[in-house]
Amino acid sequence: MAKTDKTMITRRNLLAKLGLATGAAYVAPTLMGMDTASASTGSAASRPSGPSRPSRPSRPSRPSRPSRPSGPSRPSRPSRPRNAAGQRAFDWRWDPATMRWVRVTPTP
Amino acid sequence: MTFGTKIRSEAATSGPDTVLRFPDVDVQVALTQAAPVADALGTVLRGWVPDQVAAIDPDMRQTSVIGTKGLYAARSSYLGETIEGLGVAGAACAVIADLAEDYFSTRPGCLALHCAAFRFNDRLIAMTGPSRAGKSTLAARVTLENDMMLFCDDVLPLLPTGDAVGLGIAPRLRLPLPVACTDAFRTHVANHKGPSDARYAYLCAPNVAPHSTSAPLSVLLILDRRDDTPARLHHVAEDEALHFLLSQNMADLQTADAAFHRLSALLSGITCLRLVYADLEEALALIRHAFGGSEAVNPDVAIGPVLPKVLTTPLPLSDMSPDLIWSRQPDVTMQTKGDAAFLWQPGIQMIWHMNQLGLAIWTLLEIPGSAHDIAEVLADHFPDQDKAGLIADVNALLQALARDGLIVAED
Repeated sequence: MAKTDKTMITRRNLLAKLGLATGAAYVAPTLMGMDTASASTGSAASRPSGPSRPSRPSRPSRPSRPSRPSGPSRPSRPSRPRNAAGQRAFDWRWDPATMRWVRVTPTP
Repeated sequence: MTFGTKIRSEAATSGPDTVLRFPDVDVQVALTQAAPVADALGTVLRGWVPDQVAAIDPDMRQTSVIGTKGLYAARSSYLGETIEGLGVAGAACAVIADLAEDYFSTRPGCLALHCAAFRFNDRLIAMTGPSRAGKSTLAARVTLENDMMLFCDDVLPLLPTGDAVGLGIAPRLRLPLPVACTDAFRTHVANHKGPSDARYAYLCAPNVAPHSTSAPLSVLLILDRRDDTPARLHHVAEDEALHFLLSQNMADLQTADAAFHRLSALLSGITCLRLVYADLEEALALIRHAFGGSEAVNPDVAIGPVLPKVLTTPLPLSDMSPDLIWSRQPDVTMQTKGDAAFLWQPGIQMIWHMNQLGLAIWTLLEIPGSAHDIAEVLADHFPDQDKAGLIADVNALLQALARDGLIVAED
C-alpha cells in the first residue's frame, strides 16, 4: 500500500474518532482569539505599575500577510462617562495584527 | 488656556477641599469645589460609605474631581488623562468607575464579569450578552420588583471563593427610556431618579444590594434581544458559554491556562441559558416563572435547542499556496468543549476558539499536511460541498493558525 494511501486512511480514522458525521451541515471553519489579560496590558497607555506579569515572548518574524478582521471587542473597564462633546474620551479596540489593545478615539 | 488647564492650575494652588477614602479600595478621591459630586456619590452608592480624611496621601492612587461654574474635570489614575466638561452625574460616574476598577485591581484572582446581576428566589442570576442586548434596561427594570435585589448593572466581582459581590452601585440607565416601557416602569424611574444628565440617569431604587452583599452565582443568562419574538429560553453550547465568559471578563487571569480552567469550573457549577426576547415585561415574566420555583429551572418552562452561533467571523481568503505542508506547534494546548475547541500556548495570554470544522482540521494536523490533503479527507464528510471552496476554507484557517503562531510550515 502506498504511503499516501496509508496517510489517507489514518486521516479518515482521526476524523472517525472525532465523530464528525458524514452529511453534517457545513459551517466554514472559524478561529477567534481572545485576550485573557487585562485590557491595558498590551497597550502603551497607562496603568500605574501593578504586580509584574510575564511578558509575551518574542515571536519569529513572518512575511506580512493580509490582516484578519478583528473580532468583537471585549469590554475592558467599568463604564465611564462621556466628555462634554458627548463622546467617550477614547475607547479600546483589540488589534489582531499587532496583538495589542489600542486606544482609539470614537467616531461621533 | 483650556477649561481643564485653567481649573487644574487653580486647584494646584489651593489643593482639594475634600478627600474621601472608601473601604475595600486603595484609591482616594480628591474633590475641589465639587460638593455636589460628593452628594451624588452619597446618593448613588448604597452602603459604600467613605471616610473623610484631612489630606491626600501621596503614596495612594488618586482620582480627582475639580469643579468650576457647575462643570467638572475628572482625572483618573487609571486612565492617565482628564475628562473635562462633565456634569455632576458624569463626574460621579468617573469616580465610581475608578472605585470599581480599583476594587478589581487590588484583588488578584477576582473575576470582573461584564454583566447585570440580581438575586431572586435565593439565587443570583447574571445577565450578559453583546452590546445593546438590554442588560442595563433589564437591570433597571428589576429594581421595580420588591422580591428582587440588584447586585450590578455593569460589572460583577466574582471572588475565588465562588461568591459574587454587589459593590452597592445604583444602576445607570440610558435615556430616553425605550418607547415600549410600561407606565409603571416610567413612574418608578421618575420616583427614584438620581443624578442624571442628558444621556444617563442613576436609578437610586431601594432594592440595590448594599456594598459587600454576596451570594454564589447560580444562573448565567446570555441576552439575545430581537425584533418581535416571544420571550423564550434556549440551551447554550458549552463552547459558546465559555466564549462569552472569556470575552466578558475584564479581569486579568494571568495565563490562558488559568482562564480556561477557572471559567470552565465556574460554568460547571451554574445554569447557563440564552434568553431570547423582544419585550422587557415578557422577559421579566419568563425569568420569574423559570427561576421562581425550587428546581434549577421550572419544569413547566420549555427550553429550546442550541441556536446557531452568532459569534462566527468569516476568515479572509488565504494568499498562500494550498500545497504548503503544515504541522502543529508542539507546545499548543488544545481542549475540546462540546464539538468545538480552545487552543493556547504557554506564556501567551491569548485563547483561540475554533468551531467544529476548525477542530476537525486541527485533528487532521496530527499528521502534517496541506490544505489540499485535509480538504480531500473532509470532502468525504461534505459531499455536497464544492471542492475548491472546501480547499479555500481549509487554507483560510491554516493561514489564520499560522499567523497566530499555532502551526508552522514545513521546509
